[in-house]
Amino acid sequence: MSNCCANSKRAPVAESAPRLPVLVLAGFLGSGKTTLLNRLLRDPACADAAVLVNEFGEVGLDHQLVLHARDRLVVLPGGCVCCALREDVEGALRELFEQRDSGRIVPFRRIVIETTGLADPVPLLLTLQSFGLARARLQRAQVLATVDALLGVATLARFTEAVRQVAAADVVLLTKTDLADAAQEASARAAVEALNPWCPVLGTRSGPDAPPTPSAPVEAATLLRALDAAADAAPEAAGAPPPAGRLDATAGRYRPVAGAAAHAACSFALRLDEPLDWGAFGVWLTALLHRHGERILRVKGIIAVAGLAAPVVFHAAQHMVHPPQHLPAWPSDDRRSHIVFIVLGLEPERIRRSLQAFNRVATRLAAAPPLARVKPAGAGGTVAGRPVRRPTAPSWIRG
Amino acid sequence: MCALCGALGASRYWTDAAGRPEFERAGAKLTRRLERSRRVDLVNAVLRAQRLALHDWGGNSYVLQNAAGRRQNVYNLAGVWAAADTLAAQPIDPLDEQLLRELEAGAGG
Repeated sequence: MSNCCANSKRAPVAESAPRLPVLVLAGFLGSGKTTLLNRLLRDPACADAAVLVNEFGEVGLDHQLVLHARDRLVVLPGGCVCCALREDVEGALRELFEQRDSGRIVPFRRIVIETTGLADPVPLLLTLQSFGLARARLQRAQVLATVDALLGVATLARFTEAVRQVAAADVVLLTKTDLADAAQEASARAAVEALNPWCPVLGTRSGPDAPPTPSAPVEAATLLRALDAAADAAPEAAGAPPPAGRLDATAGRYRPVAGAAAHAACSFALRLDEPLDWGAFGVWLTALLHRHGERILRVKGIIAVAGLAAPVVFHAAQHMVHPPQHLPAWPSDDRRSHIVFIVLGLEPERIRRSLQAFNRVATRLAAAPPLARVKPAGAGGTVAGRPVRRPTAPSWIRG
Repeated sequence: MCALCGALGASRYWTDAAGRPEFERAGAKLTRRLERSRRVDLVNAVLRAQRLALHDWGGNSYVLQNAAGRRQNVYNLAGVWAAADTLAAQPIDPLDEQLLRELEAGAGG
């Protein structure tokens, strides 16, 4: 009873508090996630973070390594953070916020969740999206994936888990660049960009934000800036085509990841001249995600909806669909739908044919006279395929 | 919830355009009933080869029925495809070559 009252008194404070950023740290086994996490936590830009660490196994080695946030560390025992332990993530977050609100720990201003090397981040994102406390108190999670500059190309070619991590990433960091030569780093960067064309790829040779010396690691502040930029990206940017040169979007061709024959991961862009019927797009995409959701790592695009003057920006990852956003106007003179897919082993041409077929059937059906299509639910109409008859008095009344 | 039949009220789904001002077309308001009717027509065109039929149930949910008369009540499109898997002889695949040919040839219309 007293707990109840205490919670109800605290609730308004929690609701009015600003929502905290969440960083999901993903990356394949040995790609340097924990090293990065340690470095991040030593950096003043990320010193006020609470950390959730998951261990795939019984010995919490990572727990011993993460020293700088030990007082705010919640270790999730056993299993995979993204599948079996979703309730534990919820429990851990609840515990963290209870301690924070009661003043038992220093108020953290950011949460970092380190996933296992074999984890797919999307189910975790789905948990954060659907868990009430996370929705109320956390911003949309940003995924930072680490890719080994030496082994990244081979890992992406061999392991679907690594492909899923890169596809879900908002920012990718190339690690171990001090051990790789320029050609190896360029290959790793090209493999990542072929897979996830929107994603900024940071590394020691990553452009103006990079530190001056090739062997110097990327600073936490640089990473956080990139993540914040990805989070704050305007809807126009979310639906915009990938940066020039990363995808041959004009021709609608796809780029398979180098050597990725094992799982045939590729990204490709569809450009559609005719506007899409929103109903047809919904029917088509729900059917596609239901049948092939595991193999559709990401769908992102700007859609010309029939009858609307401005486009709709759309974003989905596997089975997780974000609510569509409406733009006030087209960002450029090109008024065509532009949808980019990252898929595993699906044929781009068939996806295009399927979407167009659904759209054309829907357009034809919509052109039918409305009276012939919409049957009233009253007498003379049908409900669930059965005719609705005029109500009559039963025989025992008629006599 | 409908007190008579016990059906839960359907919540909004990302595919729903009716009732959202952003989706309202100039001069032609899309009603919920019309939107659901068009959706049912399109789903039926896709499911016809599997001898499944979808019906709107009071503007609140859908009823999917197979040729043998088995029915399932579902609340959104994701539920329709999941129910179709249990009621159809074969799984529904929007990338299936035969289905694409039928849709392209107008057999679904």
